[in-house]
Amino acid sequence: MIATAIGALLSILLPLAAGSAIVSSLWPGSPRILQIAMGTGIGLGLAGATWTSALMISGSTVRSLIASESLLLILTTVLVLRRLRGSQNALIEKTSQTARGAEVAAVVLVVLFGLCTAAFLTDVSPHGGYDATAIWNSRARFFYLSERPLNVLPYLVSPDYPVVLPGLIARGWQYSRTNTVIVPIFLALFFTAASVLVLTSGLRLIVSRSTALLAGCMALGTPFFLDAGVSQYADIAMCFFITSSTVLLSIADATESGAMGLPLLAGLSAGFAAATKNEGNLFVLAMVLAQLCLLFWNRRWKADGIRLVRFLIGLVPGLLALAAFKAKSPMPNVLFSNMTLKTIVSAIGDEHRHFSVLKGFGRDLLFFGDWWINPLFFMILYAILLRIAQPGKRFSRHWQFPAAVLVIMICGYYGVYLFSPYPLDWHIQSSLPRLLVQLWPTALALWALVVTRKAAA
Amino acid sequence: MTALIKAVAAILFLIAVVNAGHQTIHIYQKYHDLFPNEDSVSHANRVFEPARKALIKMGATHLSYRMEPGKTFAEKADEYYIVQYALAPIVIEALRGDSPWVLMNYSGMPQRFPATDLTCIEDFGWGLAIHKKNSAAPAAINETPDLGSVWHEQEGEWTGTWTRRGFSNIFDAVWKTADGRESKDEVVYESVNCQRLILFRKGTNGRYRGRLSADGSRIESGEADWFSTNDHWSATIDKSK
Repeated sequence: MIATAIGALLSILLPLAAGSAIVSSLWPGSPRILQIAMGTGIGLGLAGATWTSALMISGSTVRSLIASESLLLILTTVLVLRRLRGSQNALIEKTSQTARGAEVAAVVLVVLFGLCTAAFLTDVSPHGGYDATAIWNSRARFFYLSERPLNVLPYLVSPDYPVVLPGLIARGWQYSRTNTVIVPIFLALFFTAASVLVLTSGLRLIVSRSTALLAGCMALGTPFFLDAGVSQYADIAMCFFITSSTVLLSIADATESGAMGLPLLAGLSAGFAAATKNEGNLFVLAMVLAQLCLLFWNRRWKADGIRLVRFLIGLVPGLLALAAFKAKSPMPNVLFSNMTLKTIVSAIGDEHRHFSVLKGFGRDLLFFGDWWINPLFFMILYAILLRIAQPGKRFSRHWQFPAAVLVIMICGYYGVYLFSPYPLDWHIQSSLPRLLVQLWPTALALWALVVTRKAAA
Repeated sequence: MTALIKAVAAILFLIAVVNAGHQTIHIYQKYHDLFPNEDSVSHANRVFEPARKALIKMGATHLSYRMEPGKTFAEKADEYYIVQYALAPIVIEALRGDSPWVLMNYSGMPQRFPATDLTCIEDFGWGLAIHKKNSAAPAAINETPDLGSVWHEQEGEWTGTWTRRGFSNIFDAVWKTADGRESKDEVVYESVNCQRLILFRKGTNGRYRGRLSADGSRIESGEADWFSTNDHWSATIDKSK
């Protein structure tokens, strides 16, 4: 058991080293906590993407492991050596506000409650929730235990779903030398905690400490967020990649600093989102469209244009992994495979369908968090009071970017449900809350930027 | 106004703490009875392990699937996904499948349901049995095997010696523990069907079930009506006398 746990822990060392080196190299002077939390997540994304790409090409899990670990090792070595040769200056100044005792106490309590809840839920379902057993961990087992993993691809449940997360789990099992539950549990807990850490410490650079801590507390104090995380679903990995990507570009937008590595990192993260779940493609599209909106709005053609190009370059590793999978397993997406012009026109003109989708959105947008006390009213009240009380003070406009991303994502989901081939109520109820949880930290980042005065940004 | 804004911020912190705390208490109250128990997936993972090994040994790595008559896949999807998870990398095709190997899941029923187009190859217990579409495959043992003279049995800390009364179906069973405790009872052999053996224990008024090995010398993966999900028994049949 101890050897297995050590193996699982070892599997994260190279992603941690490579990811931290990538973050600190592309974003010199970034906060240490972001280098570790975001770096490990990006390192894991890179490990999973390389492992699955190599699997699709070679058909061998051993060669996949050699490929992923070699790449991580080379990257770490090169970036560390480069860093040792030249000193790099911090590009974003850190503020030195200190948190008040009550705020720290609230954070400590929320974290402690979160740890207890995670421990209870993991004890009750160590193999994860329904989708973890049916889809994600089951695929990882096929990859790890099968002699010819590629032969089983057509028989997997939902065979069009990307395989980066199962690849990452199977990679962890190769380190542990057994298909222990420790690996998926560990990954789920990591992505849950890292989503909150990236949100809080990322926001900390562009909003006040209180607001950043409050956003982090509200994320962790959302029961369904923790539920989805501990359930070992791919949604929590998606949540991490979405949060990282939007927070990074929000920081780039707000600081207008010379840290041009930020869009590259944001692109990496968004690419890994696309390689993790199908809705990641919509997220990539939303990020590109949102940047184009800002480009035309602000008319900073050169700076924003370069930022967009860097973002697009960052997408490459994730999209390559996705392309390798799609080339080997060209399964059509169930949602779109039966779509014809006739069904599209029919759905658009069906007012009952629109009503059902709107009803589902109305319900889940308000209650997806499974809160005992719904915080949304107070969040809106806080923003209104702040803006009424300080009308003379100019508020930050950097909320526009996350707002654009969220609006495009919600519109995209609306379209998906409108044209869904499944029974509509069932489809919305079984998936929308999880999709909203993926976006919840980004929504909290948006709220934090809305209530931030320009001086604080 | 500033005080009001600060109050709302404090309320938001408080709401986060209360929601997190309420979730912890709610989860504890809802599940604390289950904490010491094995969950259904872990259980399936453990008890189907011998089935997985046996299927791989048979070369049955791609199976069709049959669930109890009258049920739809949607009704039994949970069971299917757990079985598929536990038996991976064996592929089980739930809705289509032309494999001659058919995995029967009868976990919702007291015994295997009739399937005239199938020959039972082995019943793994816990509601799973592997069949083959009618073919020349060697059928499983369905007739009373040679019961031998003594069964050396093990269940948890108890080591049992079951001595057969002459050539009858009745065994005089004695169990002992390492610390000297002893228990006696009578065990009656009842039947074997598709390699699945059933015995009745009088004192507990319940049944032992187990898988008879292909050579008829061992009982493996045993379960009993009064066992918890973590318990199992096994035995070796001594045929020397």
